[in-house]
Parts: sequence; structure tokens; C-alpha cells
Amino acid sequence: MFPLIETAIAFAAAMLAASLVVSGCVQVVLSLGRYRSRGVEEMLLSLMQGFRNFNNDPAVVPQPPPNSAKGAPKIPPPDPVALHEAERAFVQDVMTDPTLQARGSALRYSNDPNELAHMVEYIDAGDLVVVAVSHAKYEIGEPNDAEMAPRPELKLPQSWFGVGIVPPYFNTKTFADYVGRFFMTLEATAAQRFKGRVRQLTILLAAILVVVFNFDSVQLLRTLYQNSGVRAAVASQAERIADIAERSGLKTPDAAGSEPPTSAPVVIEETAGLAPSIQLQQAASALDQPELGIGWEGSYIIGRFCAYRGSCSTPTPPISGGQLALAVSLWCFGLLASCVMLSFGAPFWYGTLKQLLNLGNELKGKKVSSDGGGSSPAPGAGPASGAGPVSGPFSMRPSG
Amino acid sequence: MSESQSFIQKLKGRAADLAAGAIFQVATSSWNLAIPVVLFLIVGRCAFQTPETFSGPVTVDFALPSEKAVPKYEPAGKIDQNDIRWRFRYAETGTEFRAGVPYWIFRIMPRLMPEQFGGRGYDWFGFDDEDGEFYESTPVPRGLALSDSTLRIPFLNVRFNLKRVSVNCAGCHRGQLIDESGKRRLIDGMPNHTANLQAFKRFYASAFQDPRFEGGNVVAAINQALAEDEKPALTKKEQLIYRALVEVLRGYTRERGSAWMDSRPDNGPGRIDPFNAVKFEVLKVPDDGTAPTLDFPAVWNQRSEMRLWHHYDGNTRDSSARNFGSAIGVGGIAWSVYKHSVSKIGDWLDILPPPKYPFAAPDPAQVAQGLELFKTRCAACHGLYDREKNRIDTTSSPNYMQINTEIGTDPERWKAFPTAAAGALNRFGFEHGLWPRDAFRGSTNGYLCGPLDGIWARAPYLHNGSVPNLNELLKPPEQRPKRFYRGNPSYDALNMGWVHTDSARKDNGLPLFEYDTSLVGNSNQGHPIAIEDDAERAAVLAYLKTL
Repeated sequence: MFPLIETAIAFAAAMLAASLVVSGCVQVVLSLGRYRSRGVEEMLLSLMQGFRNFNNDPAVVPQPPPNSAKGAPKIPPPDPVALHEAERAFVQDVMTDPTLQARGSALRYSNDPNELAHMVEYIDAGDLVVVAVSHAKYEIGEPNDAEMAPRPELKLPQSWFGVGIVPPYFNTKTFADYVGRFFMTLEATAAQRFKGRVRQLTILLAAILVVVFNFDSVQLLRTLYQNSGVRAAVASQAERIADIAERSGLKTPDAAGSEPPTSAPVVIEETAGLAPSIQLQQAASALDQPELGIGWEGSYIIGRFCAYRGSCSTPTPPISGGQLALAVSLWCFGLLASCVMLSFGAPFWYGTLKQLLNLGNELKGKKVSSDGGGSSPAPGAGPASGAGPVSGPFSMRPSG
Repeated sequence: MSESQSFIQKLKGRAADLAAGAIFQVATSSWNLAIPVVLFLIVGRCAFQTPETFSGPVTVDFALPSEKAVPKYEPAGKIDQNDIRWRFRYAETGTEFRAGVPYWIFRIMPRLMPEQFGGRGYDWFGFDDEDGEFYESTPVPRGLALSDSTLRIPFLNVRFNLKRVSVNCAGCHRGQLIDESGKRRLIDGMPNHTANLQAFKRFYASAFQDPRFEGGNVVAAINQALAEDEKPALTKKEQLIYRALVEVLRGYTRERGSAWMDSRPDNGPGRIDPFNAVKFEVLKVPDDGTAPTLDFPAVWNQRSEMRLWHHYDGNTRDSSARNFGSAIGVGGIAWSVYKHSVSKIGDWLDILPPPKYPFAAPDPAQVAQGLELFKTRCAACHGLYDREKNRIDTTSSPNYMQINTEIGTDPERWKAFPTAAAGALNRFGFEHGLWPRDAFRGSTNGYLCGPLDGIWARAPYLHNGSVPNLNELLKPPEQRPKRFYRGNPSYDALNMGWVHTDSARKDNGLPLFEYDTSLVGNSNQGHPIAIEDDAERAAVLAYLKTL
């Protein structure tokens, strides 16, 4: 294969693997901190605050003093602490509702509502209304029968309101109407906010990993171009890395029956797939090629530092301050370039790698056909798999 | 759970909650990029000031003077550690991290429990002296590597400065023979048919539970050994460390390690059950009662041109699965396998030619007759090996590298690796980035027909080493010896195999292992391709000597 194409494939494969490592770390962090469920909690808090604001609840919205002149300061809500407690009670009750939990989780965390709440990572409008009706009915001792429609006379639980008499608007019908009207906006807002924060987290983790593991993409590219052995070793991992990416949830949309326009970008959607820790391990292992120059041990910059200071056990010709400054500048540029390239994300590198692999296969096919119709087996080579009788005692296919 | 425990758990949960929330807030704030910048400045400064720290693995140094007292390898000449033969014979493979014994404990075991060694040293287990090619003297016997243990996390090697003794490639695949002049020869790639790895492993599993293995005894024995080497005794700190180490090792119960072996016949020297070791000890698959003990294979000519499939049942053709799987089977863990070194060794084994028959050359006329008989009786399965070109001709070998499901040899081996086991091993390797997710196939229900390169050096025969020599193998199965002795490095050139009738070695008096073919997994039946005529059989043997 042409060295340039092979270098490009190897580089794209390495960047994809690195992106998968970053993505795996992000998923691990999100999973450890249960940030998805926190996002749902924040959305529910916003929803309840919005519901009460929308209905001009005096416990939430500052009210003008009675018989006051225009412009007089408004009376603030009476008890913010109680209000906060009420909102948290609403969130807790919804997030720990058994109808949203797997039985195993409900049993395991029955004594730990916080942990149970963290199991919920998504809720839709219909389920939210059903949960609210269910809690309202439970409060007044009404059985949870088939009739789960919200009604004006069915008040939401006192604990969701807080101190004081529950006002007339605080019922399941008004709540359901509010949810029906505003849920999509609130959910989309929360989702966008969460995605934005995840993106920030991704960039941060990518930058940290680049520094901690000395991931210098400029040196990487140079090594791949100059060292054919390392290049071939990484390029041979390309299919495997693409496989890891696919199993992690990166896939192209179904293009059944239609040719995608060649100018259109490859659209990748992320779906649930390989566990993040496994994705991390596999991607990191795929990148862990000796002489690739990733990491500190045996790296270019450590070599330069050793040469400048003369303190390492492996003797190296000394370098001047100017040479060191140049090396450090290149190194900083390489690290920065890595951060920028990793910020493109795994889907970008996946698409790029796929396109390069297709190009490489096309070129290989053209080269083979121009060599005269395929190579003949080397003398004395073993038979290809599947040769020989398929029945009788000898077979390549195992049974069972 | 009591109320206070429940309260503490809730408190912990709340604290973790708050911490996680704070981390997320910081990580997604507008000044979060200051974190990697500060980190870069700190790490960069450290790297600039002490580049020697960064130029090697991260080292956890316990600063034990006794580590400096460990005897050195005394080179016989200039040693090139890039010499692949050096790497094969002496380099660690990553088994030391989980299965390595600290050197000083390894050293004093024969004096703590002399009866377990037959009053000898580690030669009791078949680990004897080196041949002097690379080293005049070594601190550990051949087949064992002495090294610090290293955790090889991607991009981060962490080395623990405590020398440990572990089995490496040569432990199973560097065999010995005593030639006609009585000279001992060691051959790379040949089965180490004199080493009893099971006995070695079992010894340590039970020794750690022995009442004599306690802190005071161990410290005293180590001090005695240090005194013999004219080295200072253990310091108080070292004594504490070794006492703690003894407690850790005592926690390594037999149930965790080798207890599953007790319900199966002993392996004896030159044999091993690696797939069950991986299944039960690594993958934690329930014990299925199989007894798939097999002979150490020869490992030359491993390239796919010669051996498209590997292992007796042909369960993989992936070289990383073959190479790294071996390290895992002998005690490595995913993050300790020295992939770079093991891969280089694997590449070398792909092209390593078999050793030439070292005894008197056979009669050419007999060889020619044997070749013709081989072509008609054997080549359909085994191919025609050309020693001069080191290649195999399979143009008339439709069964070469095929699975033979009717050969009739002991079935325990293929039964032990069903599809479920292959799936579990594939998952393990794939998840740890060791081999592809479809590297292994199970349930082949038979054994591979393979080449006979260097066949003279691969005794005993059949996958379980149940037939002592080729002459017996080419007789009807019912005529083969029911019992014989294994582990003798003296060669029987007439019958082509190791001398199997002596109960002890002539060179050093070591008692040999009696192999009983009636035990489960030890059957010598099958491969019923008999050459009844003595002259014809002798001709075939003559031909086989040339491979």
C-alpha cells in the first residue's frame, strides 16, 4: 500500500483509538457521578418551578404588597427553604417511583432513596403525569386502578407544595396540562445543556489525557511516516479499532436502497453499546504499540530533555538551549494539536478512517489487478481453510 | 442493616453525591481549561528537571538491601538482550506479576521443606542447570526467569522492585537431551519433557499453607542464605516486609489455585493442562471434570504457511491468541503480559527451524524406502516436509490442517474446550485488548493433522504424550506399552523416543514419573495406522529421522 495512504490510515486509527479512550473516560465519569440522572433531576426541578411560576403561586413568585402604590417593592416568597424542600420532595418521589425502576434495583436500594433515584436517566411526559396521578391518589387513599387520568379535584401531594394550604391550581389536571405544553421545551433545554456540559467535560478530559500520557500528534505523525514497521503495525489494527468503535455505539445510519451523496458528511449517531470501561481498555490496548512514541517512556521530548541535561542512563549527544527551545515549542504545538484533533470527536475519526480504509482497499484492488490477476499460493503452502472433504472424519468446521 | 449503618451509608452517599456534583461543576465551568494547563506546567517542569525519572517505567522501589544481594547472572561473554534467543530463554513474559515467587522465598524453600524436594534442589521439579552459552552461572535454574514484576498498563509501565521467579517460554519449550557421548544439549523450541510444572505449582500452593512457612522461620532461613553469600542480614524493615509477605502468600489458598488438579491424574514431567487452568483460575468457569492434560508441544515453524491452526484441537489461528494465551495460562494477567517481548518471540518461532536429528544418520536406502511408505500411508494427513527448504508440500495432502474426528485418540482434550469455553476466552481476550473477539473456536470434536517437522524431538507421542516412541506408535494400539516412565533425557535412537524403561535417570539419579495409560485423559489408543512389517516400520522411522 502506498506509504502515504498507510500513514493516513494509521494516523486516523490512532486518533480514533485516542478518541475512544477519551469517550470511554467521559462515560466512566458520567456513570460514576450519575450525571445523567442529575440532568433529569435538574429538568424536574425546572419543571416544578416553572409550573408554580406559571400559575403565579405566591409561595414562589414575589407578590406586590396589598393596596400599595405603583413601583413599591414586592413581597418576597415567605419560606425559600421549605420551598426547596418541597421541590426536592417532588423530584425524589418521581425518581424513586417503583414504576420507573427495575425490580432488582428497587429491592437492592430500598433503604437508599438517593441511590435508587440515580438509576433513572430518562423520563417522558406521559410517564411523569402517570407518576404524579399515582402519588396524588396514594395521598388520599384512592386505589391505583385503571383510571389514571388527571382530574381537577385530584390534588397533587402536600409534600410537593410545602407549608400551607394547597391552592386550587395545584392539581393533577393543571399539572398535566402544563407538562403537555412545556415538557418538550424543558426536556430539550435540559438535554442541550447536558450535551454542552458533556462536550466541555470531553474537551477537559481530552486535554488532561493528552498531558498525562504525552500524546503528541505531531511526533506521532512523524513516527508513522518514518517508521514503516510501526506504521504497518498500527495500520493492521485499523479494522479492529473501527470494530471497537462500532461496538461502542458509533454507527452510520441505514442507507437502504439509496446511494448517499458523495459530498454529504457521514452522519454518526451514538447509541448504547460496549461498556465504557471495556471500550477504554480495548482502545488503549490497540494504541499501545511500542515505538509509537505515545507516553513518556522513550518519548521524543524526554530524549531531548535527557540530551540537554545529560542525566539519563542512555547516552545521547548533547543539544544546545536553542535546540531545546525548538523541541519544546514543537512539543507544545504537538500537544495542542492533539487536543484540537481529539475535540473533533470519535464520530469524525471513525468516518475518516472508514473512508481511508475504503480508499486503501480500492488502491490495493487496482494494484492486484494490474499485477496480473492475483497471486498464486507459495509452493508448499498449506491448503486454504475449508479445503478437503466436508463430510467424513476430516473437516474444518467444528460441530456444536 | 441496622439504623446506624443505614445512616452512615446514606451519609456516605450524600457526601459522594456532593463531591460528584462539585467535580462536574468545576469540570464544566468556564475556567476548566486552567486545569490541564496547570497540569502541563507541573508535569513539564518535572520532566525537564528529572528526565531520567520519565525515561523508564514508574518504579516502586521498596529500597530493600536484600534485593541488591540477589545473586547476579554471570555472563559467559557479551550479552545482547536484543538477541531473540536470550529473550526466549531469560526474559520475563509477564507471568511474574501474579505467579512469581519472591527470590529469597524461592531460594529458602528447599531448606525449609527439604522432603518436598527429595532432599535436592529445584532439579527435583526438572528445573536444572543452564548450558553456559549465555551465562556461566545463573541465580535461578533454566526454564525460570528472575525479574522485577511490571504492570504494563497502556502507556504506563509500573515496575515493582522486588525480584521474583516465574516460568517463562523456556520453562515449557526448551528441552534437553543427553547425546550418545553423554553430553547434555538444550534445544530451543523443543518440549521441556523433563520439567514437572504441575508439581512445582502444587508445591507452592501447599507450601504456603505449611506451618513451617511462617514469618520467623522464613526470616531466619533468608538470613542463613544471605550469610552463605556473605551478604548482610535482613534489616528490621525488611524483616517486617517479609513477615507481611508471608501472610499475604499464606492467603493464597489451594482452593484459589491448584485444588482442581487433585481430582485428575497427575501430569508428570513434560505435560500440562493449560486450558483448564485458564478456564477455572482465570475465567472462573465451573469445574467440568475434564482431564485434558497434554504434552508440551514443539513450537518451531509456527508460521501460518506451516501451521494455519494451532493447539492440538486446532482451536485458533490467531498468533496473538496463541502467544498471549500461553502467558495467561501460566500465570500472567492481562495487564502484565509483556506483549512486545512475547510478540517478538512469537515472530521468531514462526521461522525457527526444527533441530536436526543429532544421532547417527540413517541409511539412505532405508530413508528412500521409508519416504515411499510415508507418501502412501501418512502424507495425506501430515504433508511432506522438506527439511532443506524448511517448507511443507501439501499438494497430495487433502487432510493437512484439517480436524480429524475419527482418529480415536483420547477425547478429553477436545471435550474440555466446547463452544462456551471458547466464547468465554474470546470475551476475556477481547475485553482486555489481547486478541480478537473470534480468536478461538470451540467444539472442534477432534484433533489437527499437522506436520512432522522435527518429529524425532517431540516424544512422547499423541497429544497427551501417551505413547513413548514412534516405533510403538506405528504398532497396533493394543500392543503399545500400558505403563512407562517419562522425563528421561536419554534418547533411544532405535525406537525414536526417550528411554522409557528406567525408573530413574542415569545422569543424576532423579526418580522418573510412571505414566499409566489406564487413567482418564491418558489413553494411548487411536491413530491406528500400524505398519506391521518390522522392516517397513524401520524404514519409516529412518525417514522420520530426516525431518
